[in-house]
Amino acid sequence: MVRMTKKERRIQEAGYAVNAILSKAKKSDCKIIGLTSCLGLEREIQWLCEKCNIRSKEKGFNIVVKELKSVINYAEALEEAKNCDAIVMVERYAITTYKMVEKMKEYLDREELKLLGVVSVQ
Amino acid sequence: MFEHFGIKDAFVAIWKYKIRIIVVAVLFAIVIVGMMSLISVKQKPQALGGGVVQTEQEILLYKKQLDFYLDYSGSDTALSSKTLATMYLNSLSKADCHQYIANYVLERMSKEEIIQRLDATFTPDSITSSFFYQYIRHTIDTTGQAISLWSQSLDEEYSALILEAYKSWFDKLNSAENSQVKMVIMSETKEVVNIPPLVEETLAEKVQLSVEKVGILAFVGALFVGMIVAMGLMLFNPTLNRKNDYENIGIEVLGQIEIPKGV
Repeated sequence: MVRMTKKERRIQEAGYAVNAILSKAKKSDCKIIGLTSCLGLEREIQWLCEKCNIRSKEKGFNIVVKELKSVINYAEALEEAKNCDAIVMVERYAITTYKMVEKMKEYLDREELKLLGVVSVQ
Repeated sequence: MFEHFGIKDAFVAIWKYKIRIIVVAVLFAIVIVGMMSLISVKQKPQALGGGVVQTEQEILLYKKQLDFYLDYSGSDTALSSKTLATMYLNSLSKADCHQYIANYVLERMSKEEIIQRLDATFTPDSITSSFFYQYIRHTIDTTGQAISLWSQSLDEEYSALILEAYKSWFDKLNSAENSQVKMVIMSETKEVVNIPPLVEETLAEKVQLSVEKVGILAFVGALFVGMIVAMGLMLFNPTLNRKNDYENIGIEVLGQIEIPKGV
């Protein structure tokens, strides 16, 4: 069994996350996916958004992934989220609280936005 | 509150705040060590008996001591050296003993002279019959037979007179037992007891702990408190710490990413 370096494992895991987002979006028949976070994490969201859009083009999926600011902190982010078919959260373990996630879910439920899942950032 | 908190979450909390806990513990230890080394307090003055209290000046106390036992040569089986010793020592606190001692001492030294010798501020009227009892001390050995009787005060002659008075009291008690009791003196000693002056000591010296021990105790204590506080924070504001936590509230974890620094 070949041992992977930390970098290789990182690349592999990122690939899995990107594939998971796109396949979930395809299954749910969503064309526009918004990436948001309770914590901000703008750098991580931008990186993930780029990778998703690149992969989507490569695979020929007609899925657009958009970066959004924190929906629970910015009203304009919530307005932009309404234009998306579904939302994916990007969060950190041991930082995001239950209260933040409950608030996010409440906002999404109120605007009838679908939550596809969460991607954790280490 | 507890539904989102378990043992694993406790460790997550401690790990999350580890740097802050250690920094606070180190700072706390430094502050405590600084306080213990730099803050000085005056020693508590000891009461040395006879109204003498330790001061900032060195005090010399004159001590006269008598070591003896009571030898009983009678036939009464209820009496022995041990029982006589107990009886005699109990008599020292009785009113008739106080009166005897007061008469004995005042025949040889006036109240004014006593006040002068002891460098005292009380009046002659305050020298009552029980006044002299505060200048005598006694112990008895483990066998219950050998008695040590001593008097100490600021004046050598006064101490000697007090001891002599109490010895005379014991002789009086002996004569009441039809001379079947004899006081066998083992030693008579005198010494000068040097009472050091009150000094300022640091808090560390006061609690008799070295500065290093204080530092270690403070650090460990602060670490422990820090961990409890971290767990408390996690308890009252729980975070999602693992994949299961998201899945338990109905959110699917699609994956995890680690973005290298600089990207």
